Amino acid sequence: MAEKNPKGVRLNDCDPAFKFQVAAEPGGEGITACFACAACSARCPLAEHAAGFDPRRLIRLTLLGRRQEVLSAPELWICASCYACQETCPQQVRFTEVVTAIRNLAARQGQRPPSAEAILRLLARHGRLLEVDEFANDRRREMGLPLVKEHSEPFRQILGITGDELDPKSAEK
Amino acid sequence: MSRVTLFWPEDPAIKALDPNAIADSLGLDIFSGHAAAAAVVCGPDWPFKSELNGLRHTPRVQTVDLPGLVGGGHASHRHKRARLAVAYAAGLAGQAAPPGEKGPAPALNVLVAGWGLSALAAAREISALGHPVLLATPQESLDVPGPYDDPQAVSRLAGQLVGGAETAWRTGLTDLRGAAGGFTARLKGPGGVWPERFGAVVLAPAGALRHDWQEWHLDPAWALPLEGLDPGSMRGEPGKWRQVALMAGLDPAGTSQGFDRALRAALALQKRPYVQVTLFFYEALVACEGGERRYRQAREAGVLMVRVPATGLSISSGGRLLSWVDPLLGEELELAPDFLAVEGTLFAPPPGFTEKALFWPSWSRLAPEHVRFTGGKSTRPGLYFLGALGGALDPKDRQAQAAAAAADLHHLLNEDNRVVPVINHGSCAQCLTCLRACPHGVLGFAGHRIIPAPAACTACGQCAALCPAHAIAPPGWSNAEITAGLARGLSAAEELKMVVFACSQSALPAFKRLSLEGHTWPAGLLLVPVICAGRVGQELIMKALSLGARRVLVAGCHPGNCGSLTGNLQAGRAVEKTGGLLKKIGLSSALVRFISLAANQPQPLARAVEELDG
Repeated sequence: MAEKNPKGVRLNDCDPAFKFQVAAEPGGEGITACFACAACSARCPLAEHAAGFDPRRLIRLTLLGRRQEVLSAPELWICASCYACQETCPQQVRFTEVVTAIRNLAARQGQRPPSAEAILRLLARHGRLLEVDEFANDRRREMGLPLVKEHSEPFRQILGITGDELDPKSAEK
Repeated sequence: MSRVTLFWPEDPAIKALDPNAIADSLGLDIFSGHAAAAAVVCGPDWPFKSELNGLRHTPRVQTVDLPGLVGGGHASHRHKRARLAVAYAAGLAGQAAPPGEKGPAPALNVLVAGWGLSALAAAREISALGHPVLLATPQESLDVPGPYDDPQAVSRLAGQLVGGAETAWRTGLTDLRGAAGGFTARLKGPGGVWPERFGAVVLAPAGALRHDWQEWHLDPAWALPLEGLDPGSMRGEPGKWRQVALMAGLDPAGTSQGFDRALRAALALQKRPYVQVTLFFYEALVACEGGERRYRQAREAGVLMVRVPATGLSISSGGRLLSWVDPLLGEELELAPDFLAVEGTLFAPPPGFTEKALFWPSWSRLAPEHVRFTGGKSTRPGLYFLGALGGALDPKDRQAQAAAAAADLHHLLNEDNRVVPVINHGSCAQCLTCLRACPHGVLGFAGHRIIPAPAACTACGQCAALCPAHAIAPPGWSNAEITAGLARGLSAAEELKMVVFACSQSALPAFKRLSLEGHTWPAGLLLVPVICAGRVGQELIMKALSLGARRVLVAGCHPGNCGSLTGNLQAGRAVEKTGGLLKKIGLSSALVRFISLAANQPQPLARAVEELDG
């Protein structure tokens, strides 16, 4: 019989090693225990508002070995780490930690969402998420408060260690 | 009504309650010697208290597990609840049992019909427990191994059995009636056909796995039986994984033992380097021993689980390409496996007797995949299915199954454990309602009398719930006795009175668990423990209402989980009918309610009580 339906995803083309990579990340160990009972999907407060976000869907795709789809999924970065799923899971999958593990894998591949990029730049530039400019320090001086200094060097070092180079254009200045 | 005495053991769990106040207000004697005609014993574990051994000579004894029934709340609230529980038990203890006749003594001998490892193991285990065994085998010698038996193990077992069991050669079973303690079997051998009475019957024919390749469009030259796979030779390479597809029984009516066999094979294969196993199954059947653990182990090892109905899997090229719709993703997936192996269906020659003989509509109802019937047990007490008929293939599993069946039947036939329904032949109208109602096949009809099998009754009380003449009940569970308990219990309640009938398999443990966790129950809640929710008929619900209960809750097991098969359904129907009656007389049908729950999920019970109370 002729091989039918070229539209379906073929498991032979997926990566069976992907789930083991996720499980090898700290926090990702529980992923293979999932039996798709949907307790997490039912409890997830974000699933109500973000169409397409479903914890067990991400798990299922990971277990099937659909690496690129998972690592580039925008839903990966929607989870707010409220731990509702983790509390309700009957199989102790610990999805919040699993999703962190998958995010780490994605980040290492350079698949960061724009918001994470912006956070990185701010940290490297100012050593904090909010720029403290002279205007703010002037007001602090008026109110008799100690001045705030930006210590961005340690962050640059840390980001350098993890291989996260700053965009040279934004790092100068 | 006889004098009732309250015994109060030294137990730290109930120390905070005041037995004197309870006894005074209920008019009970308090513990003073062993001469009481009827007694109520409080405390969680009284039979193990040596000082209460004298109670065994007291004709009617009720025990109350107070910590499990009282629950949390203020001291005065707890006192009220304890008083209610004691009052119910005192009512029960003070009521004389209805007159009736007991059935005949059970037969203790056991028929083992079959051959091969399972039959021999069962015969050995059962005779070791002191029961005379007749081994009816179609063979001419004991050491004929079945298709999956180790010939050495079989001949060793046969050697051990010599002299331990009577043997009928070339003999089969042609008819079987009755239940534990009183089976009548018709055996057919070279000498003719003869009837014989047995206490228990074990069916253990040797069977084989059957593969229906054609029906599933599988190419038998390519697809393998599960036993044909050799995990040791399987390995892939990085970037070039071996894809193995396993099918856990293509028959939708699979068994947990079959699913377990597939899980074991999947685990062994998944551990090989660069081998990915995808396991296709219709339902995750994990009711066998260790089944749930192995299901989890397989998932953790990385086996990909695909749950798909048999009709949802499309098999093309003789099994070289599989495609299905993943229900979670809603996408079509496909797999071209390097190997495809199928778990066969265990098949044993059906027994020679007709299904009608056992008064059940279908053969499968006798040996269901049911969480309460493991270890070869069937829904008919005293009848066991071992080996291929019981779904077990692995020699270790089969030996364990035989041992479990032997222990179970020994317990059933043991004099101390027997329950025989009490029948009042004077008021029996012989309408045979009880015969139709009994899910365990306990009752038979002969010589214009209802004759109970001596050891098969589980005291579920479905006969008593339906008998229009109040002529039958398991001992201790007659309408008269429960009504006496209700009357005394409800008269002791002051606030909004509520009766909760709690099934001993689900609602009672759930109630006790909540109590021990400190859940505060309404002060007027009277808990009536029943063996099975099926004991509760329309009559008892109406009795509770007429005695002053304002709400009645009947709590039983989930559909399909009832140890007495139909008890929960019957209780649900009784509640529904009573609700209809209440509506007719202008009351709300919401005063009576049925809920189903599991022992380990007590929340529905707390919620239902709260809703009824409010």
